[in-house]
Amino acid sequence: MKRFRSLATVSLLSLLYLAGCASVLWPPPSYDSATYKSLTDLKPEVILLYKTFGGEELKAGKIEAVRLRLAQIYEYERGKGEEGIESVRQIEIIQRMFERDVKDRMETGRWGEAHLANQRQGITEAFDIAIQTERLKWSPE
Amino acid sequence: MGSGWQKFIDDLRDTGGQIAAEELKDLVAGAKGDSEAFIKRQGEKLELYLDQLAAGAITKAQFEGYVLDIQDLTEMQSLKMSVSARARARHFAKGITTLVINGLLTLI
Repeated sequence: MKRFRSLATVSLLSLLYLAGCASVLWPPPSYDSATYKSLTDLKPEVILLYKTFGGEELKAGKIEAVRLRLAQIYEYERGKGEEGIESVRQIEIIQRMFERDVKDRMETGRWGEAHLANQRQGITEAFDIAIQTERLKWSPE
Repeated sequence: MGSGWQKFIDDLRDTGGQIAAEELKDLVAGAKGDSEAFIKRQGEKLELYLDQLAAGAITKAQFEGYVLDIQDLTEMQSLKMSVSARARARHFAKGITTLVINGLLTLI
């Protein structure tokens, strides 16, 4: 019985040591309510902006406001170092998708019904993935 | 659903265009039948976009943009899976400490 306990202890301590080493080398992500809030707040604003792309008038001020918010979220995540690397990359992708869509709107004019629906679906999905990623840090699935 | 774009692809091939039509059909069918919800959704979207392109509801440039979106979303999903794996590892390590080392081992 004593021998079993010793073996079990050594095995578990080894496992914990390995998990600890992995955490030091690549720190586990921590849930950040500020990131979660920033993303969930910005998502409906971007969706509303895309709705306006179906109209004649281009709301340059609102486009700039979204650019600024995305840049702020990006800098916030970057400040976390290695821990926030996935979120940094995800924000970069959202920025890339947003800029591609803005360029398309500026160059080709107002969006038709099908195009508007497809574009909205794309950017919505991008925000959803980033939001789900943040939530996973809190409650792993 | 799907027949419109499939005919469109076949017609392109008939006019001498270089296109791996069967592989493309297999790609869409495979993605739509995937057990992973994300892949399944992308397959359905790709089929929708091909249908819209075939029907002239969207332009070639718009279609190209959607395909780039699918690529970008797939990259995001892959990053999400990486976070999920690390978060689960941390959750497990925490469980080992709380339940086994501080719990079970103190009792046996």
